[in-house]
Amino acid sequence: MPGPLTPSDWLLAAPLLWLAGGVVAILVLDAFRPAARHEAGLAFLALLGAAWSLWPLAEAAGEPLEGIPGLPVRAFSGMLEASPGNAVVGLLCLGAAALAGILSLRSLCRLESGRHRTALWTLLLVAPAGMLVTLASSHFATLFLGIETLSLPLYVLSALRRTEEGSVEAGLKYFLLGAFASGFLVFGMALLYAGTGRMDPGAVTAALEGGALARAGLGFLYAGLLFKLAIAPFHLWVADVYQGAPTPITALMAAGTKAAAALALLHWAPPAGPLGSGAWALLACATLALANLTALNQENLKRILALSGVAHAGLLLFALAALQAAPGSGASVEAAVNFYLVAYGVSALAAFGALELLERRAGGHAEASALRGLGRRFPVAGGILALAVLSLAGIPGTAGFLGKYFVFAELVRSGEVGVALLGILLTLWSFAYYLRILVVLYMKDAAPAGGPPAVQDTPAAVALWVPAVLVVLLGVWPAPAHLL
Amino acid sequence: MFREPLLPWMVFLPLAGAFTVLFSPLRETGLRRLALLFSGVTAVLGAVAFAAFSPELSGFQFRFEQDWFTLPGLDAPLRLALGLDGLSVLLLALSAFLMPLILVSAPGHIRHRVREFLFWALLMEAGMIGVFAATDLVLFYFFWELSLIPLYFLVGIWGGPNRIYASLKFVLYTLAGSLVLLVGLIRVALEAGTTDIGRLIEADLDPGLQRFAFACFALGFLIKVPVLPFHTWLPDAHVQAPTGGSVVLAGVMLKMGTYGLMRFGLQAFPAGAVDWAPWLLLLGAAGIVYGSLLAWAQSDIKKLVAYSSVGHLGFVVLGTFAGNATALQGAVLQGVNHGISTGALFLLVGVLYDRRHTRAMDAFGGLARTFPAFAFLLVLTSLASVGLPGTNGFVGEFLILMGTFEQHPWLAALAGLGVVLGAVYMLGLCREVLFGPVTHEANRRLEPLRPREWAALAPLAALMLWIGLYPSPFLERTRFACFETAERLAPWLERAGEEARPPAPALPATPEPELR
Repeated sequence: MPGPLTPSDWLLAAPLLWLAGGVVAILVLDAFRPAARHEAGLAFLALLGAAWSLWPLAEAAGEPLEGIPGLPVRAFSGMLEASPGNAVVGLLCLGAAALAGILSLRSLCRLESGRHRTALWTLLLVAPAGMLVTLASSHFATLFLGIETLSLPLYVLSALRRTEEGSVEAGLKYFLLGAFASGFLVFGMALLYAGTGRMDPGAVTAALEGGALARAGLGFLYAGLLFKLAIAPFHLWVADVYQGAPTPITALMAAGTKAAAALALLHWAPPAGPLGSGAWALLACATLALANLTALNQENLKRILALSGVAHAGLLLFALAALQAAPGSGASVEAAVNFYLVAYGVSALAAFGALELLERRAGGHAEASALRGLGRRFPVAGGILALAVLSLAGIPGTAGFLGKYFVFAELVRSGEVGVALLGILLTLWSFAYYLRILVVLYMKDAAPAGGPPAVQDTPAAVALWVPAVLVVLLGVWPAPAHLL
Repeated sequence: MFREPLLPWMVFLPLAGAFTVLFSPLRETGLRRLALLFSGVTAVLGAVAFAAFSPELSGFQFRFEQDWFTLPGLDAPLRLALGLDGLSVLLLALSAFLMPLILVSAPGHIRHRVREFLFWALLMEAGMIGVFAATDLVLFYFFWELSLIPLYFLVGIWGGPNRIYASLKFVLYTLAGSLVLLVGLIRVALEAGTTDIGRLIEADLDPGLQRFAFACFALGFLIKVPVLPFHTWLPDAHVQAPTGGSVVLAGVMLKMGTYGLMRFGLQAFPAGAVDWAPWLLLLGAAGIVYGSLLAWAQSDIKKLVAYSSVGHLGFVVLGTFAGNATALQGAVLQGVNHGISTGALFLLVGVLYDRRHTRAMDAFGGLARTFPAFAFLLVLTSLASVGLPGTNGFVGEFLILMGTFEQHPWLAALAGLGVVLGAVYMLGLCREVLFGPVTHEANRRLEPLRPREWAALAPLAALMLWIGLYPSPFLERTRFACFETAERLAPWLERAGEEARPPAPALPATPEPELR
């Protein structure tokens, strides 16, 4: 029987309440005073509030939280469950939304003289709320609710530049394929429930011992989750959607959606079972190989970064393979995944954010030919993009290296040294296109300046320093991140 | 005491210099002076480290330790641990010494994007010094890769017409090795429970782990050196790199590979080293001959010098795996020698290229009459590179050949053939460029050596003679570490020898050394 809310319930609900409150406030005020420009301020307030209320959980790494027995925190009769590391990933999602907002201030907000402002800011609050629910989900209801809450706003946000074909195509493609994936997800849940009678992660274990019905359900469930995480063969939408969507939204998708979906997959991953580590390792290798192969021939930097995101999602599956091979390693695998997600998230935010600024200078194009030599003309944005690319590539001194290190350390620890060798050589392949971005930025003569002069965007340029500094800080001094 | 903060300062100063240069409001000349100041002070500290290094102490000196952060699965936190021993002290001093020379000579060939050049050069210096000073495995790997990216930019931005291909090839090759090394590193760290290099050396790891780790580490180092089948990136990178890049590449970067082979291959994983040594010796000897033959066939001076590096480094690999202290000492010294003489050769090629914008051998001839100072330096450097007695190359090659001869006379003979071939192509180069009639009018009006070119070349020439005539300050600093390393190798060599023979049933088996 549902009783009164416990402290844990409040703890996990508070960020959601802040975000939902922000949405309601924006919509209500908009109804009464459509001309006033309050949306951005309210949205940032809500994001800050959510981060502030999530902070105690994130900070509690290693020591039990006052009043809440035991970690991870379980709330709402076990429908939500989050460890401090998950909370740090949650902070990343909130930060991604904030950065997307700041990047939009001078671009998306001015589309069609601001007609979309209300939609933009409310959706920028709903999406991270969905991410928070997803990454903490430990019940079919919260999982589905979270995934839908994070997806629907992104369908709309992707298509926000509705006068541009690419943006509309991105929205439609994402929506159709996403709806299809949600169908798989919910069908899988139904079959699992029918087969096992459970709706919590225990259903997965039960399904592995159960009949064909439940096993089929498991397959559908993973298909849905792998679609959101963009694992081969469900990754084909990524390049088009990331390219077509406005770049601030792409940044949010890359950092936030991936993090939420990856943690959901980890929560719902089967314990050691007949699937075995081989299946996950195979998926990981296939994803890495396909993404790298496709990325090599791309001309558009957004597509390259999108496919790099696919490769990174593939790399994460190695952590699942390690979990399968050494069932007792749950806590350290989760720590590795959390760190990896944060490292990839800040790098992707820095990369897409800097790319947005450079794109505006190149007349809205992200083609390699348009961005030639821009790293020199705009040293800050160019430098941050280069740094982010080095981090995505996993060069020591950046967050990306330690992320990669932890994942492969889990793999080696579980005894899968051969898989680790294969995987790390697959990442070598990706250097070819990461270095290409550096070549475009720094080693080609500058393209002739085209298009109208871009608006000076000080808030975005300042905000971009945050992920850039985090990339370096997490790379050389990760101890304060509460993730290890 | 200056001993503890010395190494941190040597790493920190170039790093600080790099960012000072990047954000400094100064213009071109001021920036160059600023960068020179930072690297000059670092070089002075390097000289202090060399002078104050006590040859009779075992283990690491100038130790600096600071807790860093804890990696999951390890007992102790990672540490920012720096230290020097006989294997690293010469290379560390050489790295610190070469960078000011490169910066002094840079105005000749780096004329645009000076600020970026100085930034990357100083960043690379920090990485190189860090590689030789790090006594923690993870820290070593940090610096190892930190020095790679700057060179990528140096070649990719200031290189020749085919620079993008060359720099990509160089980075991908090197990274392939270092990623495999990373897997070995992870496994060693997890199974040994520590990343402290000193403790890893003491630990006597499980022989199976040693063999695996040696294979992973050695691949990374062999590509970096580069040893015969992995050498194809080197000529491309050298030919496309600007002069300064070539000097660093030859002088220090390649030595990171040979240093790694000694530090990890021999010291930490002796069981693996003994297993793999026959193959590596063969590769080293083959590299000497093959590199020399290729060098002989070149008509581009820079390519000739690049291929000669393959040959010279074959000597170093031969000395490293010969299995005795004499050869190892020769290998350490020959690494330094190669850095000095090949560095000087690349500077000399740069001198010609800055004046004539060509490196083809047949574009020159008779320079001995029209450009005598250059001719003097080229002959001296060539003789040092060939290993004429009285120059540095002789001391190193002699020790390597002597040590190798004790264990593997046939390989020593093969390597001796390499010495002869070296003389053939280097003296051939001198004949083509310096002697004979002046074939091109432009060669009659060559500008004499400028003061900054003298400033870069004269110290190297002096070093060649110093090491050649009075090598004991250098040899005595390496002696202790080399003997200790050879002693650690000895039981494994004996065991390998016994396994090869049929066991004598009457005698009790030799007691196994205690293993973890």
